[in-house]
Amino acid sequence: MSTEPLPPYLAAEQTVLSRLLAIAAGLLVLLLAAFTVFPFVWMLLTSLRTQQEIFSNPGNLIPASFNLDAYVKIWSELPFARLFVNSIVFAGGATLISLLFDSLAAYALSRLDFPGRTLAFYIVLATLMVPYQITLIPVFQTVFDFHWLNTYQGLIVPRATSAFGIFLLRQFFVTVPRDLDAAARLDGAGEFRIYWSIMLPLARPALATLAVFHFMYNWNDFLWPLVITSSADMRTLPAGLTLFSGQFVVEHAVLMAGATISLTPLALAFFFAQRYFVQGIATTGIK
Amino acid sequence: MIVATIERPQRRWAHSRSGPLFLLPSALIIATFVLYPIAQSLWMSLHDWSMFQVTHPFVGLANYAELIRDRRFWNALLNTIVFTVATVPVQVIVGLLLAIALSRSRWWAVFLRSVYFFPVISSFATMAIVWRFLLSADVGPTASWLRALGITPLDWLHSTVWALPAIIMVGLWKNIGFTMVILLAALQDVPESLTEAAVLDGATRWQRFIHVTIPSIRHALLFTSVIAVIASLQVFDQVYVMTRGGPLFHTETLVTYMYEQGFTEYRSGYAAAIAWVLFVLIMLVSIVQLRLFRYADVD
Amino acid sequence: MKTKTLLAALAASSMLAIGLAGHALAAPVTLTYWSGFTGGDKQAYLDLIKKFNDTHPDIQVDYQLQPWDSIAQKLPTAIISGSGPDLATPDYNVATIQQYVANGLALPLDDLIPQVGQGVLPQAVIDSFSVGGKLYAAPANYATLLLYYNKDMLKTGGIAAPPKTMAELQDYAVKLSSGQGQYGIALADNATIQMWPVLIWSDGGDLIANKCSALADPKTIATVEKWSGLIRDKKISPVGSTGQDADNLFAAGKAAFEINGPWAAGQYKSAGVNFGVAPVPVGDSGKPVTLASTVPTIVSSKTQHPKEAQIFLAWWLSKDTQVQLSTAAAYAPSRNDMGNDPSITSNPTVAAFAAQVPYARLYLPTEKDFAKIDTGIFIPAIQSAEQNGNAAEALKAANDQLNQLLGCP
Repeated sequence: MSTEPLPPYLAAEQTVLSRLLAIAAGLLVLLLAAFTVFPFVWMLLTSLRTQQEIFSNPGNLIPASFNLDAYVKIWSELPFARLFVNSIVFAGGATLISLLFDSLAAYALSRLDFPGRTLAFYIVLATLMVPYQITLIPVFQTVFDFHWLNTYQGLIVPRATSAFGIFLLRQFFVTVPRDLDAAARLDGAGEFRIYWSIMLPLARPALATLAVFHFMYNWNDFLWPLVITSSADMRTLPAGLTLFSGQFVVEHAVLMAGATISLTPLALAFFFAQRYFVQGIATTGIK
Repeated sequence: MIVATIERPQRRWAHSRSGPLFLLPSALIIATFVLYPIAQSLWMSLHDWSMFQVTHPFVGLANYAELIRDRRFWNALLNTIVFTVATVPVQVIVGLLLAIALSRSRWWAVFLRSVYFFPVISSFATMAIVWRFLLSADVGPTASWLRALGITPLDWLHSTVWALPAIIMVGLWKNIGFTMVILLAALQDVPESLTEAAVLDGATRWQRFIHVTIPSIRHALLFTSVIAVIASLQVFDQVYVMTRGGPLFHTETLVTYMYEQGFTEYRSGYAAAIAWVLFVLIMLVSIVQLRLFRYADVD
Repeated sequence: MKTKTLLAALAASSMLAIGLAGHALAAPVTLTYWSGFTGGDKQAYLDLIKKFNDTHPDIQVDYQLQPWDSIAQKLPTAIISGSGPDLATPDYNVATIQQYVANGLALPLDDLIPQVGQGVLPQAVIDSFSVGGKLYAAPANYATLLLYYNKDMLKTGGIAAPPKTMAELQDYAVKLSSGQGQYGIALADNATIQMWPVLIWSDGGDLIANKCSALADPKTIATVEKWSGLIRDKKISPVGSTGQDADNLFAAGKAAFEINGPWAAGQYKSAGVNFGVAPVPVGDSGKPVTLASTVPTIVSSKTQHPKEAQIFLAWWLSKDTQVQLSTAAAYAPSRNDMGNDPSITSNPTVAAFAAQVPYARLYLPTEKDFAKIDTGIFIPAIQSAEQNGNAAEALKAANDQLNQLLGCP
């Protein structure tokens, strides 16, 4: 691993001691990374093993023969395309709408002055503090009263904004220098235009981060789809995969294969979104 | 000098009537699907409320009075506090250190960021099953390697001493990447000119860290620590999948206890009372946190 | 009086006529059925539902599988609000239906027994599914527990045949435990099909007797003391196992015995364990006993189709259906009259489980405070005995708690 070329104004600091410290820190980071990734390696390799191999030879990580039975089983027993589409519609829809609504609210809470602003912010914060398990049944009841059980709107609308997202974006918006929007305001730009053409582009890293969180959260959440839907063709992928673990019997390879399948789209989404929020100082436009 | 310019907020609020309009979509949704159910749960906590019945006798504060005498409740509260106190500082500090170490845009840093973020995007329901194998003293790879070396593996999840530390460790494994990514995004916004100026002023690395980096990312630090505290006090998933609160209630937390009261004993009123105690607890802690970060003077 | 009878008869016959006419014309009745049978047995149930739908053009079952947790969360609210299913398996713990019955969410199945036949369902099932002399649920399945044993481990240990008595089982379990990762028996105490009650019953002890706690009964204490002592001192089983842990241990060939139901056989086969099944050994009571497990199906009190729902349940309990379920998933038939049925006796595994039906008891079948007794009192007492070696003390404390809950002195 080569040392990064430093900006010239830092080059003077490269002493032997600091190099040694950097190497030690680097090793620690690598070691922790190995610890972090190991469960996934085990998960993937287990999904390729037979039940017999999982138990008879647990210390041997590499499968004796790469066995795709678990994947075949999932593919043949689940209406895979349908589940996948549902997951995309639910997680994608909730993410997009939520990004819009969260950022609108965050803009109001960080830039606009109106009576009750502080109160509104504290209410948003407070809604984060209630464990969702306690609201599950009242929300189920409300969704039923709206005749939204087993529908996409029943899945998406209650997830179309989040206190977490509002809080996160607000924390980023307050760091954007006010000169930028104050100047636009003097030029006579309306609030929506300032929000849309100044704030949103500047908040791209934060929006990308939030998009990943929203998408991931909704994609992985099988509890919510299972509460709101009961018919098989409204299931999402992770909700469908729960049908493979029974009360008493767990087919480990199948479970691990399911986890691998459901993790892959997220991993890809994160990999591509990463470009936006960690690509470096030069592009964010805030100096 | 640098610090001073950051600390002094520029108060130039737009006086606008469009504020409520911007808030409207979120406000409607939150009111319908969050605030109303919360209010309902407060109402439930004052009743002997069963999900099976249409009528629910009013009992005043009896559910809360029962909580005070309920030893399982106090045990769950204590476990929750231990979990939170052990989790939050590690999560924020290690998350920050990782964010700094991996903030460069070299290929290896990008790769390692993905590695650390992987647990965040995974589903706890399945990963907890993986962890049950990895923490097992009998089946699974680690047990088999240790036994081959002649070491008797620790039976983490069945030990009254080690089950909670195991739950804490798995929680950290899952969530450190979250803190790291938020702080990484914040670090992108630390103006390079400030760092440069500090170097020219002769500041050491440590001084730059304390006086430039930390103040610049304080909003994000506040955010991650508030979220970490809230999430820790609501810890549920890994306990539910890995130990169900056992052995002998040593990992039972407020939310798992609440869940059991609500959905296996069907005592919704009592479960709601637990939720409200937790809610008030979280609110108090968050207010203290916001005060500590002197929240009011940063906007 | 006379005119009234006449009118009623007229009304009935015209309703019958309308009913018959409607029957011929109307679209088929659809029954929604929330079921928790996920996992390995899933396919056996799905096949049966398909068979019913294929053979009943006028009644179609919309079978909606979901995890037990989801059912527990929303079923009561769903039934009350009218958004629920026509049929449902509320819980794998039979006692849960008491709440549904007591609050009028389950329909009495008055039409079922006439269709299935008197005395056909096992008495244990009738007793636990009936309230006030009315039957409120039908068994979706019926399982008994057997002793699984690892043939290879027994052979290596020089043990010729599976144990006949609990004393032998203890003896063998000690002999086959290495103290270093090999265990005589995999004994789970939580998140499991209950194994400890079998041990307690076999020695003549009990959890509840005559509507009051029997946890402090000397026989109960002696049994728990004996087994928890062996676990602590001889390491015959890991401490605090869940059902899953115990199954994994047996599947990995690291436990010689396990008390388990028919559903486990498939996973042990695919894990490559060379295993056999034997009746649960006889304890101090001298009488064979094992645990029965049955999942109730209730009909929602809000259903529009009570008649069709009961036709479906009667079909489910018919001999043909039971044979198919038994052969596919090794369950015992949910009927008394099939012990000599050739399709049952010809399959040795099914026959072994079915043979236990007369000796099988349900775990806390009618306690409305089931969850509190199970996870709040009984399991902690057993775990405390295993972890701390204070069986007598823990059971006495649990006894007081249980008596208080049951309203006993």
